[in-house]
Amino acid sequence: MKECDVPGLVDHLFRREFGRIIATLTRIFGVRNLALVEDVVQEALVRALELWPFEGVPENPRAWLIQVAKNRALDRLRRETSLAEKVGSLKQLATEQAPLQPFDDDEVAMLFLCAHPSLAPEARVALTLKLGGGFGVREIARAFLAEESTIAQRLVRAKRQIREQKLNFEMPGDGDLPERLDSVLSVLYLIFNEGYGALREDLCEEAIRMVRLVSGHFVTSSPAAHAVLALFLLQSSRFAARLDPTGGLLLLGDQDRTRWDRRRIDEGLIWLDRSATGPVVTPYHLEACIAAAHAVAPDASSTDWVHVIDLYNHLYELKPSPVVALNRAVAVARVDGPRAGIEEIERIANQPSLQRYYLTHAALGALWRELGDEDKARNHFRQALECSCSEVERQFLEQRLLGH
Amino acid sequence: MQRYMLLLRAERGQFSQLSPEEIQGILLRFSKWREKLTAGGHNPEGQKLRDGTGRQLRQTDGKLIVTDGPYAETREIVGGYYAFDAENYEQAVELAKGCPILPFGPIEIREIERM
Repeated sequence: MKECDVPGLVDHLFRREFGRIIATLTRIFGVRNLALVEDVVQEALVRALELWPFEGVPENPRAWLIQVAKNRALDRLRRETSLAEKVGSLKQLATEQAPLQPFDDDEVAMLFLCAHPSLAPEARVALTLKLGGGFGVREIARAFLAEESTIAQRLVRAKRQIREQKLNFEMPGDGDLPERLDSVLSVLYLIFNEGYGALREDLCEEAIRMVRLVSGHFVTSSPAAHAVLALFLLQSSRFAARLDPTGGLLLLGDQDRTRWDRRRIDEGLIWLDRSATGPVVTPYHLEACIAAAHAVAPDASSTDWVHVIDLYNHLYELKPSPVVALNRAVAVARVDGPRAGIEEIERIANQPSLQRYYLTHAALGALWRELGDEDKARNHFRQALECSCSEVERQFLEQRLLGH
Repeated sequence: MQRYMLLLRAERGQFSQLSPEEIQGILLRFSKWREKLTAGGHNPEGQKLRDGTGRQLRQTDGKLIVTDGPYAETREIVGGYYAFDAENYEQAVELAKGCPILPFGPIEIREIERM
């Protein structure tokens, strides 16, 4: 969202800088001072809010914020810490280049800390968004349809765990790199999917920014990271086309494909190409291939659905989830007809997670409608409406129920 | 044209709960507001007042008393001021309505009197 062009105040500057400065100061002051670091960075942003309306935006807002945060951190440390600790931190700080420049290294190390396998999975996501992405508690809660207090508690607990377990702030060694990287990628995957489902472009763009960092870093650059980046780019290429002019949700087949972001698709295909090295095929590779199959098809009917089914079969072997099976069934319907699709879905629909999933019923409704059985179709759209879904999705289902 | 002074009062500490994106949003609205005032020929200017306790001077019975104040414990403090030109109070109020600080504290408008 571009509100206006104020020189120096690029979009999301504060959110970005929050994460970057926290990462750099955490390296310097150590994870044990994480709470202090978070406080001083917040104070620097508040300071900007107090001063800039009167003084104007400084020529280099980033450098200004970094300097203020650094000074505050030094003040607090001088007051609060023991002499021994003080000497260590101050010496380290003295060797830093001035003005302090954040490094990608620090940001990647922060992602590893936030996604540490010893933290609870929900906490990893919240922590990554807060410390890595600079999202506020309210914004995280809104994205995950959770209470603010729940997210706040989750963050407090996670930070306590970090302190108590003395988790460190450095790139993982060769031994645990695969497991640690896997954890980072799955956190980013959750963030992207949450953003994609909730039509929250900001979350998706943040996940893309973070996976770019991981993909581009010499330690973490890997086929799996490239595949995740490819997947995100290909999926996000459809953002503008997912809603009709009235804000209604459009299915893949109904989207105006000229509104897909070609540059994103091209870039996604390049990363997909790069991901195809080495012996390991991850679920990310297969999901990216499926996204690519859609992205390169001029329209829904010319999609290579046989290839898509094949990819889903392969994906199901690696990740046997009911949702993968459901998506596969929808592809089967495109190849063998709606009745075959319905049979596929009915075979798996008794799984609890699919029974409560609105897309199961929405897919059945659409397929029955294709067969001309309006009663069954409406019945399924009604069932879909009983499942939890977002406001846009609810409107979509109501339109379907009316026969549109 | 008259000149008006806006005293911006804000409660302490209420910015600390804002997210980075929210803070940037308020700053952008401030820039817009100032730009609008400048473009409309209202010659805005403003200064931030330093936080913390100031000094109060009072003379009673020929004796000068200097005290600290307003005290840091005061809930709302004047954080800064703006001044701009406007036709009358009505227009000044209209222009002040756009000040993005408004959700965080009241604004007092006073006309600067001239000979």
